Amino acid sequence: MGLLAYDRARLDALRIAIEAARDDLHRIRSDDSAAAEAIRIVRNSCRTLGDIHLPRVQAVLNSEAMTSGPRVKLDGTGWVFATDPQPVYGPQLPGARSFDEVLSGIRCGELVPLAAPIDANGRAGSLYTSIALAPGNHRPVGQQDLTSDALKLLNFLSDGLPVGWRETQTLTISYLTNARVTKSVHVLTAYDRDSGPDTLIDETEEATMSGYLVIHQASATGEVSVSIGPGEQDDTLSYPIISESSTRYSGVFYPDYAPDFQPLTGEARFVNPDRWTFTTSSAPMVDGWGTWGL
Amino acid sequence: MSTSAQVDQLRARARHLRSLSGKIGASHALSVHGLAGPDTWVGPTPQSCYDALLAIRRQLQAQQQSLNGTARSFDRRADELESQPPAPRMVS
Repeated sequence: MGLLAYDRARLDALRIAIEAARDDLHRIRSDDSAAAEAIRIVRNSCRTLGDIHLPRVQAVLNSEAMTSGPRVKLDGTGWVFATDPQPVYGPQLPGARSFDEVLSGIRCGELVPLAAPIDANGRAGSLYTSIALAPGNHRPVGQQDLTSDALKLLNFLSDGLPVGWRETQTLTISYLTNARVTKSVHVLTAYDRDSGPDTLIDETEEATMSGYLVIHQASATGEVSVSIGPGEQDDTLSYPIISESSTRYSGVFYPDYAPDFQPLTGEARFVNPDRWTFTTSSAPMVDGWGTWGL
Repeated sequence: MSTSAQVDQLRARARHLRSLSGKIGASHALSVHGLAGPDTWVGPTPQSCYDALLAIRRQLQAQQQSLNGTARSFDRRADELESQPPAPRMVS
């Protein structure tokens, strides 16, 4: 346990301000689909203020040192010392979080996502953006299987059926070091899904940043199988004659620091192949692209 | 839906998004970090609280920008619809 020092009057003012901020955010509402992301952030912030920070401030104000501990004066101001519930480790190093710590940081709003790509909302001729990430260095933080029990059962049963369906869902968190993030601007027009839409190069921006990439991947395989060999056979011994697979992903990138996007320069340079590309469209707009959001 | 109804709807949505952005901007959540600095309290918990309040501010400001950007795109779309020539009518 460490020690913290506080000014009672100012800390009480902070408590009142956090309450006011929480109440202000609580009153903000909208049913407009274009405001869905903003409302989600507002709700998360509201919860973080009310469930985490307000109780912490209140706990310090109610602590023993407040009522019975020593009063220490520093520079004429009234400081009170109390036991800090957090260990004295200092700020966490970038990239040092565990899988659960990243999820916890996302839930409480401590990790700030990169601004979502702009959506064309299906309007022909409107501008929209895509975000492509090319990792310089890539360190897996952890992975969690999100496949439901029903899908696991279906996967198991598919082993013995002539027609099978297998689906898996995983949540993967990686720490990308010096990733090249490119924000490209496109016009919503008809295009080839294999080659992707044209890009307005003059309006494209890029930045180099490090941070956590959280990816939700879902892959599904449909199979039609036949038994191996003539006569009575083990049902699980079969050979797939038709197999169709599809993989889709969605994700969000949480940079360590606010990005500084710069226009593309015309200078020749090495460019890593993009690994992840996101838009806000509910369905991937190009084969290999994913959807921004979790 | 007629063009003028679409235009009205787009303008109304743009106004709503701007109003929402204004409400976020006017909330105490954008200024509360100013009271959480080392003048108020010092230690690991105060530092993490200050960092989190600053992160909330950044997130909300990013959403304000996003809402304003979407509102601008709605207005542009409404302008485009208004500038289009009216559809020819069938005359019997």
